[in-house]
Amino acid sequence: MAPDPNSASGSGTKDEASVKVPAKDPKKKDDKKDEDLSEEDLALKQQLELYVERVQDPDPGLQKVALESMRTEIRTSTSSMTSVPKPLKFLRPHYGTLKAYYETMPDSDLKKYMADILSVLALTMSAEGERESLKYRLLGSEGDIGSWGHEYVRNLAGEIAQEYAKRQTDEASIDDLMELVQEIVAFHMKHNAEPEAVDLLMEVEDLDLLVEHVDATNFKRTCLYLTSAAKYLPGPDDMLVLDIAYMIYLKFEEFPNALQIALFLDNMQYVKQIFTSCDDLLRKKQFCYILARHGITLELDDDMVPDDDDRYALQDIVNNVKLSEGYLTLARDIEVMEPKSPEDIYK
Amino acid sequence: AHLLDGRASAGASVDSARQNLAATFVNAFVNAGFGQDKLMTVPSDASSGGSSGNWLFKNKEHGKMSAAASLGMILLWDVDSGLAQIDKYFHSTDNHVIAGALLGVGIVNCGIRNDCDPALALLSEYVGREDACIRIGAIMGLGISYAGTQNDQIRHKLSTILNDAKSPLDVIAFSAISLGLIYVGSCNEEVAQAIIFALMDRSESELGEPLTRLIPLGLGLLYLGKQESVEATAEVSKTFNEKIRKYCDMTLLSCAYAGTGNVLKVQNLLGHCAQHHEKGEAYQGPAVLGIAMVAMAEELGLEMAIRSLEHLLQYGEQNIRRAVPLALGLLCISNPKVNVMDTLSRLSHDTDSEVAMAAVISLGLIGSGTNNARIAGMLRNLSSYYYKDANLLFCVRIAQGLVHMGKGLLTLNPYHSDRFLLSPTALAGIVTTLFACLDMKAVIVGKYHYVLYFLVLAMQNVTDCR
Repeated sequence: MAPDPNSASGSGTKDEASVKVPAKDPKKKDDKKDEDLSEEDLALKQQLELYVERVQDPDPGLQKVALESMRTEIRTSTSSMTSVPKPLKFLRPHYGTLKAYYETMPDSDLKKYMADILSVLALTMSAEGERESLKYRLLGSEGDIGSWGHEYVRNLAGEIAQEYAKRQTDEASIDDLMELVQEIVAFHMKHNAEPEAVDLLMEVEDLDLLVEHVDATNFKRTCLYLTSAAKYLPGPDDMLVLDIAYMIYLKFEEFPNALQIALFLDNMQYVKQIFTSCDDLLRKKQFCYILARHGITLELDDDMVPDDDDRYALQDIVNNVKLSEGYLTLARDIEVMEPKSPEDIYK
Repeated sequence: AHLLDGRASAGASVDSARQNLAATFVNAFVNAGFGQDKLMTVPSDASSGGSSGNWLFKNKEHGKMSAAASLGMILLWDVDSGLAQIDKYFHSTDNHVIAGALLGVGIVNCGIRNDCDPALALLSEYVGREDACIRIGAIMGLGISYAGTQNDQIRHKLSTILNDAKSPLDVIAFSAISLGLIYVGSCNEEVAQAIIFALMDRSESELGEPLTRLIPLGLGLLYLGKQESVEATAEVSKTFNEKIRKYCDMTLLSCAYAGTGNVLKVQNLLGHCAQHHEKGEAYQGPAVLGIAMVAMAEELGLEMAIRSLEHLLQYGEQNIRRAVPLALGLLCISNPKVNVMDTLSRLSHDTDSEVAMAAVISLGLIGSGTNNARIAGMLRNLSSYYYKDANLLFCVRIAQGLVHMGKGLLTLNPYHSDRFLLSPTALAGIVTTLFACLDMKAVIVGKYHYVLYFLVLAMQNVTDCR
């Protein structure tokens, strides 16, 4: 956001302190590049250029080594991205070459590795809207998607959303996309990025998948996101999202929250379900207070509260029978029982 | 002190009756639920019936209805005590007192469910009586005490009244409202039909009456927050007489999308408010309230709506300007935001007295139950500023009563559970009061002031399920 890109390198690594001109301005950089690089950087650059050549070597053994080395280099630098990592920076000019070479390669494991690398490179180098990262990912070896880093996964999720929309209009199959979606969702959910997982599933219109990925550690945040997002979604998504949140809460026995959603959805079946799923009398009392505050008229039946005495007590709560008592107790505690006259108010 | 000196003019007795009525309401709101006050529950001396009616008889005519009903509010939620103490008014010869007692019974039972249905038992036989006041007292009492219960028995009784050609207009209006409250958000077709027929049967001249406008509201409450379910009924409303058609449309739309935050509908309503008419058209009132009803769902939309409403003040005509303060009051109910406070304060000095009255009442609404010192100060100043204007002074008093409602233990906020859930009956009570306030002169400072008691539907202990 700083108007002068040259001064924006403050957040870069210590190495870059010696590099006056950071990577944000590639055109200008190209000329100055070689002189301004530190020795390590220069070595890395040359190493990568060597790999690029070797990859195009007819000998598969050499290719493999080169690919793996390139892969390692990129991997070690892409786990977090505060500025473009150096290997990606240096490989930039070779992207086109590598892509062209890829087209000529025969089908093999090596081709898949190449696709993986191209997929990562496409992260920063492909044109807007081309979705090349996704394209190469689908062609590549299936591997642990997270091993390339968070940014990669995020970018991929974005491209999937676009691709999904396109496929919908073309009425093409989306199975391959959905496999990737599963992997990405699993990844996000494990790494405390629940909102991103939810967003992706909403884009591909398959929120049901979410339920299998929630566990005891992340369901609260997930549901919080779902219920907050519901306010900003157009129908029918808003209801869907809340339904999923309800099911998750029920699954993890967070009954009061589930009850709130049930009331929001004005779904009496859900309300009954909560009573029948919960065995704890104290918790049922809590439900009754919530219902009473909501002003809802509800008859508790034997399924909801099996024991007769309990049922009468709980029904009394729902019916606000002791409301006055509670109110006056509060008033006495705060000592405001003394009646006030209009004159007291007027002054 | 200048309020206490008797004015020697012929209007003196009217003025003091008006002041006493104001004091009745203030007393009711402030002491709500405590079971004791200094005007109505003071121990009776000697034997004469109505001696605790000392205060009661300082009110005139329909004022007595509100006074009797105020006992219900003071004894709020204490069914046994309440019914026992109100009972004496049933032996009065004065119809207004009986009417007030009926209303009071309804108020006491508000929100309390009881298998014996004491309210129903007491009130139902009065619904068919001769005197319009008594009928209204009973009908309103039933609507308040059975709101949200979808009680069939009451439905039969009230539907019969709706479709009885001999029922007076105000009785019909209150029946429609009560049915709307009892069946709030139920989309019940039979009730809808009954109300629709009642509207269709009204003559041209009746359609111009202020109370008639409450009938579409009764219809709207059936669909409160139910969005598309209102569509079939909205189609029918297009066939109504053009005097009421648009008013009905706006009311149905506002109610159906209340509490949803639906941006498209808010824009739709804003579009209607942007239409320019000579003095503004009546239908724009509900449209303005609708903006608040729909946008109140979440914080961002709420802030945006506040801004839109302030723009409307600049460009809108009479009917719009009168509704804007009320809409602001709804958006910030029991939540005194400083910027809204300032806007309302400015409007309380507006040259159009209806706008000023609405603004004053809304100052009370935004501060309701908060004891907010700033608003209390503003209202005190307004009481000196308007000491000669009976209507405005009345509104100032009501507002003061609201600010100190329940001595700070009550709130009118219909939202609870981390502002996630909206209580339909609470919203219905507030909305009914606001729609009535769209015509301050005829209703609030007219002879239907007791509609202020609809607010009891929203009164909640401030510590419950926040």
